[in-house]
Amino acid sequence: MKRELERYLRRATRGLYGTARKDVWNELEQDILERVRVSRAFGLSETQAVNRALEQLGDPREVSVGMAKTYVWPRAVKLSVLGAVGATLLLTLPSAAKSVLATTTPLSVQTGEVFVPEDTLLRALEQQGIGLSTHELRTDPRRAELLKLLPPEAQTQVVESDSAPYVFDDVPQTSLDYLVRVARSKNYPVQVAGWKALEVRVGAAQLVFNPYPGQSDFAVLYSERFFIQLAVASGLLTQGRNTPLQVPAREAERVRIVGTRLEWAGRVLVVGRLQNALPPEQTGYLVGTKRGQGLTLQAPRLDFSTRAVQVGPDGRFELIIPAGPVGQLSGLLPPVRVGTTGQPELEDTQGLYFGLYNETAFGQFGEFTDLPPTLLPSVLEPGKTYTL
Amino acid sequence: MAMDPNLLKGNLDLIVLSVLSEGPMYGLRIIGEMQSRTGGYFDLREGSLYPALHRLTAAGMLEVEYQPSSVGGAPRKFYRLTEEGTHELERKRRAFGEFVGAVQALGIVQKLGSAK
Repeated sequence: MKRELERYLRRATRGLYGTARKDVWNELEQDILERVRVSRAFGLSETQAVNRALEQLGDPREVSVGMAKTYVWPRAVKLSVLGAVGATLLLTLPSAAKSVLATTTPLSVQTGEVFVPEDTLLRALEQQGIGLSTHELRTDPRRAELLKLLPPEAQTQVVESDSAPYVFDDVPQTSLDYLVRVARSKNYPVQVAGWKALEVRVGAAQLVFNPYPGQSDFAVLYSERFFIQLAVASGLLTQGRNTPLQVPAREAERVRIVGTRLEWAGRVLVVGRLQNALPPEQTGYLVGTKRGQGLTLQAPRLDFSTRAVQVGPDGRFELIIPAGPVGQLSGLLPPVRVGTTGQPELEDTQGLYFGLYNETAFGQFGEFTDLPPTLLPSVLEPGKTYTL
Repeated sequence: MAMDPNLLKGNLDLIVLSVLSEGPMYGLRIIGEMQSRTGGYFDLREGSLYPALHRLTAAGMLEVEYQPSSVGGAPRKFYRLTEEGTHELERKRRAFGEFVGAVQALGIVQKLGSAK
């Protein structure tokens, strides 16, 4: 019960901070417990009662988005009106372009997604020789393909590509994730660097995002779509979050997962790259954590038949999965977030997420150390075989 | 008949303030009151209610007090109308009454009824 409950509450309060988050968390938790108690009195098992309570509460995203309108968005607007210094997020560009954005930076945060006024951004990029049009930005053909892949309930939350991706305060906004994908489709070099202050470089243009003053939780900045950007900028093409994919083993009898170990926020995470499983232009990732003596690759929607991994002398490991008669892996890719509460873990039964939560205690977010721009490979211990 | 979510959305503040005019309540109790008093017509979920409660509180229409929880854990958060909220409720009631009067003057309700 506790696990399901916490998962729901974590999702419902995503994007909130401090006392606001704790406040909403407690209220929802009390409601759930009362609903559970009533259902139990009618003879439901605890599991049934919890499931019923969570179903009655509805989609946790509805709560988080509603609360963001109350707490996060007004703050973003207020800060942007006050001026650039100390704003929720600062967007700066070098040289001439800097002045363009320094005066108009009404950026907003929407529970994990960062949006930029598209006209402002496009003008600034143009000054750096990055020629993207509004039309191109809005009509990336892959966007339409992506939408088709999303489950029906998710599609209703996505604005179609022939209109602005998002309108906030009457200003069309562009998701940086989207910008990065379009820029890449136009063969502009894209880089992502920084940790406490995220830097996104498109050609010569440099976008620097600073956190809230005093903010130590970067989950919002780096989770969900933002982490996809990291992956994209690392040379990976992703298709967006929560995208169901059937992953056939393409022209290979076996699927290889080649992985490296990361030290991240004091945790050991293992990122495995799928080979022979995706089209050449795509790269899928699996995420695991090291627990106890063994290495656990947690991928609830993936069906492994191999339970061992060889670690080479360079620390890279390779997990080989026979393609088998089915010949495919089924999962939700890319993995974009891992919630870590005590132990790093994959959260959300709807898919694999890979991200940054380091909630050492409720409401207490750990400091994240600077992370190099790419997913720097740390290593597993050479020469060892880890049993899964 | 199923509730039209747009009608609820447009009048959510009025409905919440009206329920709370009966006395302080916590979120789930408000939902229960709305259901029981309307025969289940208003089936509001937490996802809609809590953002409204927090917004109304931030606007000074509601204030909160904490009471021990009957199910254990953190204290329950009760909402109640402030003086400003009471005035706002009266204003909204008048506005809604005028709207209903105008609708009746147009014969919309009668037409719907006679169409059955």
